[in-house]
Amino acid sequence: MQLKQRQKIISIVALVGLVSFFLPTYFAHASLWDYLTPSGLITTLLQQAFVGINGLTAVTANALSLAVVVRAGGSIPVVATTWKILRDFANMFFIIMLIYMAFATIFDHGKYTFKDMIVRFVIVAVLINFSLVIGNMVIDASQVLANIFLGSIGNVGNRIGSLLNPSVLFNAASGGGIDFGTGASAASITSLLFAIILALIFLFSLLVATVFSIVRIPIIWGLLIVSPIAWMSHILPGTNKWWSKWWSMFFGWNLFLPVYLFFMYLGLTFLAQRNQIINAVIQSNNSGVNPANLGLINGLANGLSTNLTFNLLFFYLFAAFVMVGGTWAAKATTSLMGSGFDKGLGWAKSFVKRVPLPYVGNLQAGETAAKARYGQFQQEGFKQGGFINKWTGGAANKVFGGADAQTRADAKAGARFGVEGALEKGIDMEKKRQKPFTNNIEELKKLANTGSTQQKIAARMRLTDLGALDPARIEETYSWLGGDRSEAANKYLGGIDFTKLSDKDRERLEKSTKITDIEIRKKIITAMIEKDKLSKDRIEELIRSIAINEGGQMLNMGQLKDILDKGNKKNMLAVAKVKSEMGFERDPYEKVLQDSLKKMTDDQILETMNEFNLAPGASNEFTEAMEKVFEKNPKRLESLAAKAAGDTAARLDELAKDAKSKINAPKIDKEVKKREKAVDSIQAAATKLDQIEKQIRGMQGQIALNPSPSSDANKRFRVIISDLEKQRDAKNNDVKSLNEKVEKIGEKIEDVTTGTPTTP
Amino acid sequence: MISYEQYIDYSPYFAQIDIEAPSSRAEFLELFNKTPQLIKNWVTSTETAELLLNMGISFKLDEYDTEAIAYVIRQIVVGEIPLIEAPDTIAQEIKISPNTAREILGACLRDILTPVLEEVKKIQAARFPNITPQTKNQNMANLQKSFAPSADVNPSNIVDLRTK
Repeated sequence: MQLKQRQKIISIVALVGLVSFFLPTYFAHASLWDYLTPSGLITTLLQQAFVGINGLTAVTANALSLAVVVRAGGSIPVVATTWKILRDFANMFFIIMLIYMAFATIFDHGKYTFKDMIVRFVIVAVLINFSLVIGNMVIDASQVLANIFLGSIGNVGNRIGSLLNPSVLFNAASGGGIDFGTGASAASITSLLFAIILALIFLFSLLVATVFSIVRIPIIWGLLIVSPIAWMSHILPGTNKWWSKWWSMFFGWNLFLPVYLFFMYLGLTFLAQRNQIINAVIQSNNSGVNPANLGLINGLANGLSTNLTFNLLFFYLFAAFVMVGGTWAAKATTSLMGSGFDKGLGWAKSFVKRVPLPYVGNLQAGETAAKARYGQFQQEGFKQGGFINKWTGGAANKVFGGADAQTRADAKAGARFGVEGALEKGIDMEKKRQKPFTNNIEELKKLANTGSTQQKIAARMRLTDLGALDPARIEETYSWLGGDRSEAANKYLGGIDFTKLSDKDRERLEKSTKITDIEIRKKIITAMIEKDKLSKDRIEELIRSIAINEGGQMLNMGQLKDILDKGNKKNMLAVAKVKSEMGFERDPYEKVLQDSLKKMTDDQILETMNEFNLAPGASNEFTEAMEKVFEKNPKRLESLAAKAAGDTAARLDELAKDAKSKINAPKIDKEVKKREKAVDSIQAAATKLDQIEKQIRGMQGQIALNPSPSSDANKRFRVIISDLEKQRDAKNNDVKSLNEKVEKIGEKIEDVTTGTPTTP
Repeated sequence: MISYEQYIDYSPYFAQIDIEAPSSRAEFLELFNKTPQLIKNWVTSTETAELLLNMGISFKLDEYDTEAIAYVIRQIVVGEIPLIEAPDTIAQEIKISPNTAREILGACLRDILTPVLEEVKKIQAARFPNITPQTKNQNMANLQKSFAPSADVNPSNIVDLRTK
């Protein structure tokens, strides 16, 4: 950020320094403050630019005067020496040529045989030694021609300097000074700008001519040096094109100068005779002139003695035209020069055109934009929504509406005469014309009810797109377009998105007797089934209306089923009934309903449920289908409940719980049975325990009855009691363990019933 | 492929472990440890559990009943109960008629117990030697009846491997 600011400050300081450097040093009746005003600064800058360009023009003119008198040919040592080397080199090839010709003759090889080549061979063998002389002759001939014009012109630089001084046009450039005391006027700045542009044109023209006048000399030398090779290439048919190319380049570069000088001579002569020509044009001897024009004529005549006049301006424009045109004409006349000149000129043009200019970027961009704008104007004329057309109250477009207006008129006339496609073309043109009002419903409504049929249709079509046209007018437009037999009319209605219309509008259009095209009716009915709440009978009626007519079947079962599928959201129950009853599905209504439900998304299900507005506990065909479809998927029901709100959410929760209970029923049943068995086992163990206890007590009683504790019988009883006690402990352990298990099963049943996670 | 839960429910080794008395389990484990490796592998394999599950489905038995059958099969295989008592035990466990119980047992012997049948016979003979030959013959007759082909099978298509 700081760096940028610093750069900006440095730039400003540098600019101010540069401006100060160019400030004029001569005296002017103005104070220093006058220069510091914006207009003063601009004028000074322009003035300095103009002086600089004129200086460059003078230098270029002098360079041109030198370049045109230099003779390209003659006995130039470097050319002669190099030419000799190449000539000798070429002569060596004659031997090879002869051998080649001999073999070609033996083997009869195309155009290389003796009889085909011998004439050219001999001529070239002789003339190759004179190639430099012949080249110099051509140069001399063109120089003679150039000298004629040079003699007439004299010193080119001086002549241009004396006759072509645009600065005399303007006080600012001639040193007369601008009245800074009152501030530089806009006119002065404009004059300066004009002078600069004119001076730039002169400079460019002279620069191109000078550059090519200088460049031609080494090029001609080069061509002279390679002339033996060029002559040599004339012998063989395959290399003959080089010979032609050499000559075209050689002639081209030699002819450039005389052609250019001719145009310069023409331009300078014209400039030299300016006063006589102006007098002749404006009839300074004004006898017989309409007295009403005398004032103007006198004004023009008096202007001859002033600095800034219309005739001077005209002459300098003409001079610029001649100078630039001369350069171009020279290029066109000497196109033989080959691509070198074109490339050079193209580069110069491109450079000039790419010099940055304010507002338009550069000349090329401005030219491209201007061409495009002109093309647009030619096409559209004064546009309907444009400023001029509004200002003239629409008259401008009527006076000149461009090519579009003519096309519209043609289309209108064509429509009247019943030309096929004329109405459509006219509508297209009107649509183009109404583009400025594309989204302006008010304006479009005005256009939709007034003017030509094409205009009304175009506006109505757009209004239809915007959903702002009532069904009555839609029907009317459909009729205007030709009704159901017209492709355009059907295309119009076919393009309407009927789902965006209101249910009443759809109903009206469906009932229209004018709309009989099956595809259009299909679209309308599809939109109705999709968007409007309809009874089963109404849906059936609509389906029948597009299924069968007097001519037989119109839409097949698959197409009709697709239409019915659209109603799954808004008219689910009715659609399922229609599908089942009309035979679109073989399954009973309930199954069709379930199948439709399976294909629905969460949002569609919720939307449908909301439509029914079910209270908790309430049930209908849809909820029954839900129970059936999601009986093994309570999670989906729970997820739906989470997305829903109010009664729908409560009802979905109930459905989820029911589904869960059904899923868990076998598990609960199993656990209940297990518990029963465990309880039975406990009872059995308890009974067994009781028996063991009794046995132990019985044995202990027997021991007590026996007086001898150490008798064998008592010993046996004690062993039995010990064994029974072990059994008792085991059974006690069983009872305890089974009781715990029963308890766990109870918990498990509780978990499954309530849906909480089961303990492992 | 059966799930872990299904394996625990229908494998003879684990069947009704959650409601079995510790003394009964201890008795089973004692017997199980004495059985040959073939029996041990069979009792604990997932394939056996899967076959029992499918058998339950084919007889339209619920989860509890199928698990109870697996439990009875365990008792037969390790010799906790004699084979002859098995139909009554099944009938009592899952509260079905003795005839249906016999059908189920026959299916089990034919389709599930085949790989270990010979070993099971040996175990049964060792554990219950007091069962009379008459009873044995009756038992075998019943088993043969269980193996008998159904009426819709062409007898000429049957090859009796015992005669080969």
